[in-house]
Amino acid sequence: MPRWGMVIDLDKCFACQSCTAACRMENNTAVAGPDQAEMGRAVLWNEVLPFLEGEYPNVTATLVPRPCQHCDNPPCIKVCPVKATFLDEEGIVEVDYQRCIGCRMCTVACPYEIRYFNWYAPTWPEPLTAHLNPDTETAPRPAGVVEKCTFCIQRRRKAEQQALAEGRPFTATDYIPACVQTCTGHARYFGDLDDPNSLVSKLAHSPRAMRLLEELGTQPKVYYLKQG
Amino acid sequence: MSLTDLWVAFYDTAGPGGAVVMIVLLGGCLVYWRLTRWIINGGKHDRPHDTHA
Amino acid sequence: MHPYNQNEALILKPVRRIGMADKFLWAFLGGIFLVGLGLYVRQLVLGLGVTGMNRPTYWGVYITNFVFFIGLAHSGTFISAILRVAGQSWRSPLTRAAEAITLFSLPFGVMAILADMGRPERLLNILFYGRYQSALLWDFTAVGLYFLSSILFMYFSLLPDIALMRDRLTDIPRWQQRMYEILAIGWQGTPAQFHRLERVLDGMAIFMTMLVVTVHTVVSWVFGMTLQPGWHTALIGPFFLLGAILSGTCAVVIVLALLRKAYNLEKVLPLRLFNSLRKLLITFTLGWLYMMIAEYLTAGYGNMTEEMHVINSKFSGEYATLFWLMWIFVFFVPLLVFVFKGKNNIGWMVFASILVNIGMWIERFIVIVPTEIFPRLLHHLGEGSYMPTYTEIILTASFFAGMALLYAIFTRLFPIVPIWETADKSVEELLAEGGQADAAAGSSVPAAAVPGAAD
Repeated sequence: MPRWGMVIDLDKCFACQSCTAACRMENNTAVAGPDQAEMGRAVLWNEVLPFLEGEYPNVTATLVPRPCQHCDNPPCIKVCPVKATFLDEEGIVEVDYQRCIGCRMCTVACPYEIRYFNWYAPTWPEPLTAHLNPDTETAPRPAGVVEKCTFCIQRRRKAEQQALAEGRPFTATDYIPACVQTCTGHARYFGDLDDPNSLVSKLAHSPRAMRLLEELGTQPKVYYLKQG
Repeated sequence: MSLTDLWVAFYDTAGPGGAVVMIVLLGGCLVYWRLTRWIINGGKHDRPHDTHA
Repeated sequence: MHPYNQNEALILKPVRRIGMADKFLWAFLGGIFLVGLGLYVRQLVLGLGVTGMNRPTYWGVYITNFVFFIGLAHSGTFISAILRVAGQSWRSPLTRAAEAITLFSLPFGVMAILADMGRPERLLNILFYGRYQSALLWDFTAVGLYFLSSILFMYFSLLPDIALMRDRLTDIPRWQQRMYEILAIGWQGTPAQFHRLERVLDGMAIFMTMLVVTVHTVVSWVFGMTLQPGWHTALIGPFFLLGAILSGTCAVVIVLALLRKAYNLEKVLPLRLFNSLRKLLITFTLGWLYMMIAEYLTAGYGNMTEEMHVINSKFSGEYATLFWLMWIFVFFVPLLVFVFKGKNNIGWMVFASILVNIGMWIERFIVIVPTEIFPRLLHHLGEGSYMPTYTEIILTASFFAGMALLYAIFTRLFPIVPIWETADKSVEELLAEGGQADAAAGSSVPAAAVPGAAD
């Protein structure tokens, strides 16, 4: 069983946010619109967070793309009353949209704030409706349920089926999420953390590797390679 | 399996939570039903020799 | 047999007629509740977006109401169960009025949760797929059991008085008589029945005491079991528990004063009850101070970054106004009023109690929202703001209106002061006398106490 993980090289990332855009197109996240976004209701499964220190002109900026961290010890799944969110065998934290009761306990439990809630039924401005991903697994979610980055789990399923159809074994390099595929700076890597020969595994052990909020013990599977 | 693995496994399974809730609430109903009957039946089934105090 | 109570007619008087004033009051309260219901239906159709909640403030006014109303419920159990276990017999006239607060605040606590759910039609998923690892399941169980037990505790304490009304009240509408007949389930007031009833109430009082501690602690653990700064503190259980008992006891003071005035019950709800409650309230207010100091001194001294963002926003930031208003309403003014003005003065007691409850509502809000506004990763972005919308405000008003409505109707159907528990001789004494006394008293009831004669 692969244990899916991601590595993001902060030296290579220049915060173009194509990953954020690609994720939206791939996963059919709703467009909140300027008013709702102003209120804080934008749904961005992948978000680029600016961490700025100091005062102009002595500012240090660290720009961190932040997908779901797919923790190995997720605080979010512990608190779900109906197991609508759970850790699958390959390490992906999934959400069952049919079962979610919308209590939002998981959203407040996540220390990374990576979970989003559908405050209204999703809508898209006219031109974008023509570009919705037809994959049923990324079908727009109804109002009242929680959603979040799934490491593009629909691509994993497609890759597994492809491998099956072609009569070859499914390997961990057969699928990558949309953000990794799109990254302009080739800063994102994805693969099996349990395979010592995989790129992500080697990078995760690099001296530059770090994880967000590591002290909390959530054991996130998204590693960042520090700048410099 | 380390303690951490055990802990994670515990937190990942869907427990029989609904069953526990139902047992507690229905059990409570049962207990209170029996208590009500017990209260109302106070003194109703005295055996004959009890009345000759 | 009904234990003789010289004030029986006085206590039964409110039950004997429903006037125009009542109908206006019920229509008014019912109207507010229906407006709330209408707005809730609108929310069901459009989605929770009609509220002011957002990311990161996923929980707002509805959850505040949930915690507040469950907290109010502790009033009844405290007065009737905990004080019973402590042998405080002065509380007898208060017990039913206090338990009624419990009974009618719990449903609205639950309604607040339902209002907050994204997909309320999937509520039963909690039973089908429930995970006991989740604090919400503990909540469901504890609050459910508490509600069930409160209904039964109230019902058992009500039984002798229902039977009294069945036997005494002859000039009430037929449906009402029938209701008492059914609800009295054959209670005859025999010594054996009273004996068993007292034993059950003693046992339930102990159980309810344990339940009260469990329920509000478990409610607090919905917050405490997360890793969020300000929530993840071992003190949160006792903190919420004390807050609940404080706001609940103040609610009892308010309700008591209202009942005295509305139903002319000054004789059976004397001033000394307020004085006894006053002493308790001084203790609880000081207890609240202790909790606040313990929490903020500990967190502030540690000076951990994430904690300090939340603490600073409360002490001197965006939430400072609300925070210090809370202190004024819950502590500074009420303590001074209780200590210096409250003795023998119902007006001041009620004033302070109302302030406390407003302040406690703010306290629940202050616990919930600032922590969400400053999440660990995002706090530096200065993101996060929360402004409740009219939907949330009106729904809150409708919860209070609904609770008041149910309470008001209850007082017209059942005597709000327990007649049998405030009888001239206590049930223990009567049982000791072998049940002879009440049989004799039952046959020599003065004319003034005969229903209908005093009207």
